[in-house]
Amino acid sequence: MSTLTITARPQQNPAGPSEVTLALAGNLDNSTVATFEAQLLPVLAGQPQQMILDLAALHFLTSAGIRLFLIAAKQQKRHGGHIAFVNLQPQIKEVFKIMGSIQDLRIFKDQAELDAYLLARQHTYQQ
Amino acid sequence: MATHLTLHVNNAASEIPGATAVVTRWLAEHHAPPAADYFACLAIEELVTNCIKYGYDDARDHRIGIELKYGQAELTITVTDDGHPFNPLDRPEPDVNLPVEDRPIGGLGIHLLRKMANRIDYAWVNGHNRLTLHKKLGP
Repeated sequence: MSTLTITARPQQNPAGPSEVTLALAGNLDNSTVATFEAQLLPVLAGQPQQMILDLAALHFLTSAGIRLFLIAAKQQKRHGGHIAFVNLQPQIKEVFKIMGSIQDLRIFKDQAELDAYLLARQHTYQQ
Repeated sequence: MATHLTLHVNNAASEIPGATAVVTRWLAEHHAPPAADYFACLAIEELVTNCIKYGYDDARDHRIGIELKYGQAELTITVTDDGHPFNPLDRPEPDVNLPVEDRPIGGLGIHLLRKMANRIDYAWVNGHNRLTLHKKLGP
């Protein structure tokens, strides 16, 4: 059986720009993509400044899932928001590499790397 | 020495998880590396889904054959169906260097498989599409 669990995590810095983290666990394939879409689309409609997808527990990703990631990236870009993917497992990382668009589907090795990037970007905005 | 597995599914999305579970178990029994399992499950997921979506105009059941061969650090998967003649290799590859707002959302499944496989062969044999994917595996 293919299962997907999605967990929303609260914003790390409540005073900062709007940020949503969704952690995915399990498989993102044709049988689970509707589950993810149902949670993702309302979050995107809220137009968060920063969307973070934590894939530490995602074991399997197919083109159906990538399609949703691309849709999310397009929507975020349209309103000037950002999207970041963090903690990719090796096979998932290979899939992302093949898909290209590295500029827009930003991948971060771990939370520390993502935090450093977000901090640096915030300083850029403040200058 | 290579080992073989043959299975069939009907053209229904509900049959895919069962098939990938069988394949995962079989590959684990033969101590295949994780990349083999990922590639096999991805191929089944993408190709069977495409077949279901585009392969048939009728509402009848159709059987889709899946054969695996594993050995000597190589995995071969052959998917056979009796849908419309369709060679996925004829389709142009998506431009992955386009900025995300210009990327069309389509053709991604085949693109993924083309990049992950070392070689793909297509043949139309006895009224069936037959697609064979070869992947060399590391340790």
